[in-house]
Amino acid sequence: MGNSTEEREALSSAMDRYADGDEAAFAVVYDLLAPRLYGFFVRQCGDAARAEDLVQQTLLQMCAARETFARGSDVLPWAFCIGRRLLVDGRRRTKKEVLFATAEEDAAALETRVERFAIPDDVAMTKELAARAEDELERMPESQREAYMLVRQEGLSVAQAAEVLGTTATAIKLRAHRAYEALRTALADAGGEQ
Amino acid sequence: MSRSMNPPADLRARVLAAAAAKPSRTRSTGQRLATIALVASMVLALSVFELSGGSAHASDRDPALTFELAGGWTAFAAVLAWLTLGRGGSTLARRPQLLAPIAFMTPLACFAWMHVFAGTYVEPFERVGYRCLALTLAMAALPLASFLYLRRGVEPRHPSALGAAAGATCGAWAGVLVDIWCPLTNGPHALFGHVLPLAILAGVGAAAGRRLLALRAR
Repeated sequence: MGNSTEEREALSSAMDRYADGDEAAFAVVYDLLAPRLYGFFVRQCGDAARAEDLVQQTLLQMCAARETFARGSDVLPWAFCIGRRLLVDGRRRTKKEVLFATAEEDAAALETRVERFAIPDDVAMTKELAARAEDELERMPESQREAYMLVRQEGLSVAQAAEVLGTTATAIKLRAHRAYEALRTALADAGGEQ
Repeated sequence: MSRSMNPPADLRARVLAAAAAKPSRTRSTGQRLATIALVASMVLALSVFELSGGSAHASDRDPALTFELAGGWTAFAAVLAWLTLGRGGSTLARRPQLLAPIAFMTPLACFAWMHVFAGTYVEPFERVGYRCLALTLAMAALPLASFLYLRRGVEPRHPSALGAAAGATCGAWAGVLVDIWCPLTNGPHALFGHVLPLAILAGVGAAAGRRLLALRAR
């Protein structure tokens, strides 16, 4: 699912019907939302089984709180906000920092794709750039990393990301821009070194 | 990178079955409960007010002053309620940068507003403010408890900030009746009898909000 106005309206309308008592509408909410949430969780925790569990928990939280759904409001920020909270709470419980652990897997997948077409030097350079990006993301303040992740990686609008993180759109723009610039500089340096 | 990834096919059936197994309140049921809580809170607050002597308790003060004091505070409490309970078209509560100042500023605003009237008339008696404190806490308890009950386990962002703002808002509404009841506005009395309960309610709201409003495992 993308983030177009029609898709947002379809999701909002399905959630509205569900909040009003149409139980069948929850299946529509699932179909529109689950792939988006699953992608988010897989990228965040790098564990398909954990991602499945988080998708289930997020949707059940929405189900339990359906009476609070504001008529016609955007579902994505609410869903991502719940998902993010579950993710953060889970990390606190396990005391294990796994943020962006999937960057390694992304790099591995990218390598596999590139290997089929490219010469070994290109593969090495791609690996190096992915590792540099991963390092840079880990070094960033969490606020910048989250803003960048939601806007650039998950495709949320600036306003939606602001709702998820409970801040202003201006702050999101600034944080995402800083993160983007830091990544660009790091990758440009890595490219220059190559 | 594709943002969507198809989850395993069996997850859909599991989630739908789990949702069906745990029925939740619909929006109309929630609204009905909220209306009942609101009416019960108003009835309780008015009963406490009348049992304590009602507006006759402040009869030694010029009614125009009482009207001005309580009217101004009513307007303030209405804005607080709109900020705290309203969500600006979103399902999520307002930002903590807005909710936290509500909790901090409400007691200060109360003191400032009462200070405007202090010394403008001769106060009929002197009191520390124990009864004002108790009345405010008693009148605000039910609406705060109702809010915490109705929104329990659904706030994913900042439950303590929301709870604190709710506590301050409930205290502000209780303060309206206490302003009508109490003829005193001097500084020490205002601090103990009118400002302190607001701070207590904000603190209780923050602590209870953290425990009750935050997401719970399903």
